[in-house]
Amino acid sequence: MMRKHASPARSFRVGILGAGFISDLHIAALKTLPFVEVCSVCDQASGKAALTGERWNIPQVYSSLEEMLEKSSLDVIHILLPPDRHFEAALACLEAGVDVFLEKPLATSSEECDALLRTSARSGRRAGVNHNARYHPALERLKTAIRAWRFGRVQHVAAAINLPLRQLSQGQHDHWMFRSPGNIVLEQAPHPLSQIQLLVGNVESVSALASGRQLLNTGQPFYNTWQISMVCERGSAQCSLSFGGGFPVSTLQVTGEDAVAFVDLRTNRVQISEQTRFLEPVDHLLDGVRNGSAAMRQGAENFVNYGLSFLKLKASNDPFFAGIRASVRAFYEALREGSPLPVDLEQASAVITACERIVHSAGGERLNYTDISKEIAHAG
Amino acid sequence: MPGEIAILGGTGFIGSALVAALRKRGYRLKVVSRRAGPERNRTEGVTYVRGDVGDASSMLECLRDTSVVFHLATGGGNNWAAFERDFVQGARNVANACLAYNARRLIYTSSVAALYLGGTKPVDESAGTDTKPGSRSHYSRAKILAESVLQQMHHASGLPLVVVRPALVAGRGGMLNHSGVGFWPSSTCCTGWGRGKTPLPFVLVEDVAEALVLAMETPGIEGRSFNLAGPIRPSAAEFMEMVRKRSRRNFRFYPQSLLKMQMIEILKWAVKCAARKRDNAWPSFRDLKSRSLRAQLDSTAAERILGWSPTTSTATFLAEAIDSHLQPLLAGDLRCT
Repeated sequence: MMRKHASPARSFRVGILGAGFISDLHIAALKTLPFVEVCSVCDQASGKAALTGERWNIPQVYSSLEEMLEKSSLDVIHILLPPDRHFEAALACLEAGVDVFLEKPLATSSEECDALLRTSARSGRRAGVNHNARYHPALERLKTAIRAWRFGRVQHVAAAINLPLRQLSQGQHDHWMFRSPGNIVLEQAPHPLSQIQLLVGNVESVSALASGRQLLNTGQPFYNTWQISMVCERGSAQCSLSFGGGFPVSTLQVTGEDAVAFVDLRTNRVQISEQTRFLEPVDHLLDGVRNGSAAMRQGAENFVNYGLSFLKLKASNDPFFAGIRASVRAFYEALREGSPLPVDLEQASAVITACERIVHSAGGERLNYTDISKEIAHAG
Repeated sequence: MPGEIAILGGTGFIGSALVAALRKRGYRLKVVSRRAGPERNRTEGVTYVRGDVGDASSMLECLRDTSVVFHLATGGGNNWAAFERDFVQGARNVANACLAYNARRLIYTSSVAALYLGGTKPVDESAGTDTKPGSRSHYSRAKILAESVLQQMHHASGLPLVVVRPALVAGRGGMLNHSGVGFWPSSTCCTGWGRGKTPLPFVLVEDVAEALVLAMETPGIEGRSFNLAGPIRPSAAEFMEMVRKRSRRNFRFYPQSLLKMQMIEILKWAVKCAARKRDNAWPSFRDLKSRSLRAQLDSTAAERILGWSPTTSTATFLAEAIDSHLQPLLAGDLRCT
């Protein structure tokens, strides 16, 4: 059953599809929006759905999407399923006349993205994607500086991610992201790629190298290191992704005409170096002083925020949740105002296309049966 | 109609605009440059020749049988000797070649840096060049002495000389961070020569090229000099604000009193003394005052005698002086939102 969408400043009845870890964050974000009511939760594991319903006081609990669509009168459904189930679920919701908000990645192929775009256009329903990395508080500070013209044109972005992967180290190799060597790119790369897209536009061409091949306990090969160079619409970018070991890293280095920023997403700090009116030796001294004190200030703020939210004196404001909350808010505000969605299907499709290009450039299907990096080394 | 026209320094900022203006009128040209030689001969009607104004024999060879010579070559270096060679001796070499081949006209492009513009009264051509070249920068001093050498040769030997003095030349092919606006310690930060409230004598490069062509074509003006400044004269602070808004970049202007600037220069001088740096001259306050361009530059002689009409359109001025240096803002750029 669908509701009519007449009022421009309307309220929303929302359903949650998929009651995994991320659903709690989406519901917590939705609870901060006064014009949203979370009415239903659905998971094929009915016990999980019931627990989530109970935890968040959600009245309607379902174990099938069809049932939720049939019995709840919903405006928006958050699709929080594993990536390979996004497409069918989103298609069903759009066909049923319900707007959707999908977790990243939007889908697992460009073909699925195209089909969703066509369905969205035909049904007149809208689909947004949770590229919450674009709303990380540290990146928000950078965006503010760019909008204040402190950077000029952003020319280059270098993203670096070194992620300890719990499922990898604990042998949970049946997870979707390990089923094919390219899945890890679709699962993890949308975060940095969405940031790169925001800063220098869509990826136009890619050169990628995968290395660190290992066999998982399923017999599938897994590449733990990906080095990616990209030409984008408004600049260039690099991205290095590595998984499963070493010091955790999540950084962006953003080079503009007039400034350079080092964004540490893990510690939620931003360091900006820009030109000054002083000669080089003084300029370099002041840069050190300014960035040193900014790092101390930001570190102290993060510590105090953590302490206050731990003591429940302040709403949770950890960077990951803050990103999701801002992303959810931006989606609903756009829906309410009828303005362009912050991350629409076209933008999210472009990220999936970039992921596909990365996998293809690194070897595509050949990644499955040969160690591409060694092949290249021998050829060299 | 002149015979062969030679342009010394025709690959530079003003030189390139002059080549374009003369080609538009159908003149055939010889461009003499230190760097660009015959390998650049790809433009119809333009021959490139390698030559050095500091070398007398090179000038005699390059300017053989030329009828009109435009001297826009520049040079200089870290010490006065380099300026003396390129500017003063260079002017003498060019003038001697013009006299040797009985050239119809030598048009020398000097600079308003040769004038003293630190006073409060308007300055026109009657003021002449600064009478104290010794207390000016190497560049200003070189331009003053070069003009002086050429004027002496005009009076003594009948050198058919015309001098033009462009002010703050702006436009396509030049630089947005013009040293006439202030001192640029970095590409976006400008410290004003003073408070930055004085209207600055900007002139577009196309208008300078037009004036140079008129200086060639107008009869009976030998021995005269012409200041070139347009009618659109934003102050340094206004100009920087326009640049900032139009570029959406972090251009900043820092007004600074001349006295404070002088103190800083003296401090730098003292540090260099302590470090025993060579060519460390006592900073000239007179030069600093002149750089502030406080005296309004009168260029009505060029309008009256040459029939020069620099652009009066603010839109054209902004498009040429600022926008021509900017990259277009692309869709999706966060600065659009």
